[in-house]
Amino acid sequence: MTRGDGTRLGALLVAPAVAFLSAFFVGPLLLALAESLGLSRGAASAAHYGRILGDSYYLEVTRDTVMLAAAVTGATLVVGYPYALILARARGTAKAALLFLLVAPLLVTVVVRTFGWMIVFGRRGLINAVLGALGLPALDILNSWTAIAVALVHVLLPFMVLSIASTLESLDPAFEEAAATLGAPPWRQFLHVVAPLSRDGAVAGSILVFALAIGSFVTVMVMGDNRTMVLPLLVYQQLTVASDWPFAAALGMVLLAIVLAVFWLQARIARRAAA
Amino acid sequence: MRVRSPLAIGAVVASALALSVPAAAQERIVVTSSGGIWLESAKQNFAACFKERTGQEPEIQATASNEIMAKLRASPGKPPIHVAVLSEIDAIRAGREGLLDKLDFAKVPNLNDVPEVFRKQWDGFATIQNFGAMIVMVNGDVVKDPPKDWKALIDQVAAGKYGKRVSFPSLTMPWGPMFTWFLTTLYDGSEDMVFQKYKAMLPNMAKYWVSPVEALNMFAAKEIDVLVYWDGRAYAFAGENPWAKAYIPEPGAFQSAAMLAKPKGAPDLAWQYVDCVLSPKAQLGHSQMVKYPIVNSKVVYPDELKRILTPLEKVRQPDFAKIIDRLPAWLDRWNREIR
Amino acid sequence: MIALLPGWRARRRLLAALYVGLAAIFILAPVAVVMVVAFTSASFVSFPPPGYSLRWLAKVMGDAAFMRPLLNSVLLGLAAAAAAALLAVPAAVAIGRRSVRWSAELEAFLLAPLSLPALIMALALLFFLARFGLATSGWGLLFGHVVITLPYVLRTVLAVQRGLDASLVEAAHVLGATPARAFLSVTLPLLRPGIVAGGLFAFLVSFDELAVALLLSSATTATLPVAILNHVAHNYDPAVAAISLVKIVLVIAVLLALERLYGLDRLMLSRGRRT
Repeated sequence: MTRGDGTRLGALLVAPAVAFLSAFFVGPLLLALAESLGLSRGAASAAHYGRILGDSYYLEVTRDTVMLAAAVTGATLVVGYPYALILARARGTAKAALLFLLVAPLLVTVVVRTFGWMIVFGRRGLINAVLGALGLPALDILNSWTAIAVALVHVLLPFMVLSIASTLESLDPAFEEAAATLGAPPWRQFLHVVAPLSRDGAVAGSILVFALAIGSFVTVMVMGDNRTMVLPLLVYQQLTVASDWPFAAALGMVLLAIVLAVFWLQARIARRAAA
Repeated sequence: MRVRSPLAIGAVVASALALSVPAAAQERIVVTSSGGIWLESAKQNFAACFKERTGQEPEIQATASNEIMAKLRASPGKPPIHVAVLSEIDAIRAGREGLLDKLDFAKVPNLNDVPEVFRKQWDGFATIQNFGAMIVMVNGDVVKDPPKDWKALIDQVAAGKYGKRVSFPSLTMPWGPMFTWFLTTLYDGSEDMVFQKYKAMLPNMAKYWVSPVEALNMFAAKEIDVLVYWDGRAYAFAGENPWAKAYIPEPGAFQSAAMLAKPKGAPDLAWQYVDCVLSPKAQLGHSQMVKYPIVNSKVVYPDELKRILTPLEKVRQPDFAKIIDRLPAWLDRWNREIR
Repeated sequence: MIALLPGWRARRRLLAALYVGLAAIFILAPVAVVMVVAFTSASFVSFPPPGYSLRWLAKVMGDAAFMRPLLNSVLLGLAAAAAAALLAVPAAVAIGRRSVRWSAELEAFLLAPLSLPALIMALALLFFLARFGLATSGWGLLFGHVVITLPYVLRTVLAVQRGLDASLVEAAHVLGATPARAFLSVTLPLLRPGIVAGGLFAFLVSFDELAVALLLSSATTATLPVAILNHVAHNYDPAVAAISLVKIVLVIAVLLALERLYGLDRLMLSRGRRT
């Protein structure tokens, strides 16, 4: 702890970021909030919120939205953690190659990436060709929650991996080797040396992935079907089809509240774990 | 301190970018167009005419109706766009909200050659510049004898004749409400009947498509054998892929159109561009490039174009006022029931 | 020391290779389909292509409707990442060290833009900026992207900051370094992995961002995602696959150049651990 910095320097360091967001984030946010409450049309009313919270359909969609984001975050963590370990230890060209591999999906425009998935997942796609050759029954997973989740894990992987890897970069292999020399089995080395170090990275990555997953609608729209509805897609419909900006804003505020609640819960758990 | 130098470079780039932008803006007339071939046609046909007449190059922005509407609403009276190409519904909304100028016949003489039906529903706030229709495309190798009319097609899909290898437009895509309206005309105006049919087809629907790209993706990947799609693009696809066959089921199709309008507050020069878009020469050139019918009655189509353009008597113009009125209810019903 | 665990090392290496192989298949399968499609000779997307040619690559690379937006996107991404880093890094340091009051609340506030759905953010920002005549100026686009990308830099830098050995900074103070000097020569290099990861996220997010760019860009400032969306809305040809290939080649070139010029290890590792 560098208490010598004092709170004045600290305040000085956060001031620009806080000032910037106060202007260009809080301003628009208040505007959207006012719109969702119908303030631009005269009297304030929570009618839009009542319509959302008092209707089992919207509650169902909200539940599906949160579950999708949670599942994607979990899967990305499981798939991404080993990748981060390997990336953090790789050197030179191997590191460049692993890094490229990681960001490649983000460079392919979503609509053509979807075409790629169609070729992979399609009823006559690559996976089914392999299954057929093995004498196994064909899968019909294109346009389903599964397809959406796989496609999201695919593009969100870099956000998890790089967050974890950046905290592992400061891990000295000498620690692990020392632990190994002292006879600690590999899982104990991991649990006591690697895991604590990367915990903050995993939390950071999970936050980013959760927020990105819960806000995504293009992937849900093109990889899903009529059964796979999420809140941001409802927002999109209200804006593009119904042209109902106040209702869209109210839906957006509900989504905002959910994500903030998840962030808050995470912070509480983290604080309790640290204490 | 290698970290600092990229930061410094970035900061310089940031200010350079931000400063260079305002200088370039505003002086020129800003017009919109769809992207790709539409943008090229706007350059070659409309902008060329405008330059010939005024000596100026318009700034052509590839953008969609939704975004134009948002921008017009955000800056009423000071539009960042001077000639807008809007969807039919958005054009009606923009007219009602007072965001558009009434078409001025004195400044747009070519309007005299555009039949009134192309602007009547818009109270003279906008005119159709070109139109098309939604028709049916099938994989001819699989579907040898496709049904001749819409109702038969719908019943066969619902009965599973084509398996789960069919894709119709979703109500939630931009022209979905118009397709839904068209279906109501087939079933004596009954919305309930149309939603029943939507529901009945669902088990055999690979997907109700939302983006035109995914629809053609599915068809090209042979994931589906029957697709309801726009005529111009369906004919173009079938032209290159002999296994694909496009046709218009009876009793025709609904008209889907691009609307031309001048936002309120745009300079008078914008009328020149509108007049250019409607001029016979530019209209013919446009039709030849995008393969869609246009509206100036002086234009005579060459034979090769006549063969693929959906004739006006085959298309029905939707009742937009009714669609706007019913839209929120339809959307709600679609989300709850068709799943 | 190493001689003690040859079996474990070899096994671990084999496992890592197996994992990377599987991950590569997962990541590259849909991407590879798109790469193949980019070389098609047909006018429509199909797989496998009926023939191969360079026509679509030649088309997009000679088409100002794609190349100008590509340049805009690169510039905007760099500018947004740099600005986000300038705002977020000092804030992350202050919050990570708790040298500012309300640090938990400040962290939540600075992360909040992550939770507002992009569509709502974009529309609200458009109406907000239009009041100040900034909606189509290019500044609005940059500000919007900084709001969106700031949390990424903040969260990754914070994760690294929290794992840092405070004693190093303390040592710098003891050795008589001024706070500014200690920050520049000790803290900043230690934070490098987080800054690089966060900066990379910021760039990638801005590079792929659609909602804000759609509403706040003009004909001259249109970004690549905007150009692609407007292209595919009414045309579907392999040009979008070709532009994805161009982006991928561009990123490979940048990664290789960085590796040659600086060494990715040095960029991504903290100074304490340069091997």
